[in-house]
Amino acid sequence: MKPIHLVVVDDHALFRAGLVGLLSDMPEFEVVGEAADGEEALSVIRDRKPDVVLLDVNMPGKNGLEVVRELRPHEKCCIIMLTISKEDDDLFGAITYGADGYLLKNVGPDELRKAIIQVVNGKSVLSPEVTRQVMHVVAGMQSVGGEAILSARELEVLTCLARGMTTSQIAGELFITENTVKTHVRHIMEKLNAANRAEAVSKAAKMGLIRLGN
Amino acid sequence: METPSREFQRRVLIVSSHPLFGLGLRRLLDSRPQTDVVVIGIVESVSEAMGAIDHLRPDLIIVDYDDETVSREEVLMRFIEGGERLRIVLLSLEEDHNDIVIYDRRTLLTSKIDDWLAEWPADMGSTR
Repeated sequence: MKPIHLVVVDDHALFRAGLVGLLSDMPEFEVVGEAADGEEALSVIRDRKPDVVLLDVNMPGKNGLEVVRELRPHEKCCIIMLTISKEDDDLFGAITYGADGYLLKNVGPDELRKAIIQVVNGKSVLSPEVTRQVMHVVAGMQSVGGEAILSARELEVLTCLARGMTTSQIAGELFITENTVKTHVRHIMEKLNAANRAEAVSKAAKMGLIRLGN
Repeated sequence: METPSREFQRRVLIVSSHPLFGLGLRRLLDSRPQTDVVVIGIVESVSEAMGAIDHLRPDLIIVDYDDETVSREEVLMRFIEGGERLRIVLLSLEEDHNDIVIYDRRTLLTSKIDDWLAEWPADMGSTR
């Protein structure tokens, strides 16, 4: 059987070398590239076309989240974040940008081996330590009272509102008319049961629909 | 009676609760062409390390100093300020520690491990 091709991205040289060594001992895998930062990662991944990328989040320069955002949707490789970070921004950022897995670095070699095989088979993987955060957000979304969750376009408008943009600015950003923006805003406020735009943004942030500060 | 090879063997203990780090480091040390280094154990906490030190008598202890489950206070108290003569290497992302040598794990390479071992006095293993 053809081995699964891997690229390992981590700025900690010793950890990366150890990890590459462990993966090289597993017959299912072949490590076809390594990178120590985001820029190098993009170049190596585009060049080697691996099946799976193991990607650190916190790196100098371009971080792991930016790498995921730039790779998607063009590169078809699976991406597993391998990090010490349990921060909401990193976890939900990675999921939003299209990562296939989010594993903490306390994972054991055999769990990592299984996770890599799972993502290749079209599944997603999460460390048990972060599933609660994801479930919390999903629970918040369900508490909308059975009403429809916001549409993708409504989420875009809401994100613009959170950035303090005016109706006119949002219309320009999303290439829609101001009236359409107002309609979306009205629907958002109805769905979130918010009295005004600020309350809609605040409620959406609490429910995890958007992240403030981005 | 010990054989000459055993006499010069360097016994390394790794303290880390992250198996990818501990096992990865062990593999790197095991795969060195020189056979004078042996990883005698990987432990997940300082208290486990103290037990291992008594039983396994390591010559060098490599500590994952950023590991949340490895108490820094305990590392300092028991390894650095303790009475025993121990050779400790702390690996961390942080650079500012007053009297302790901390290696930056971002830039640390396996060749540095060779440097530590080269710096090791030849009698270290038998006189600690």
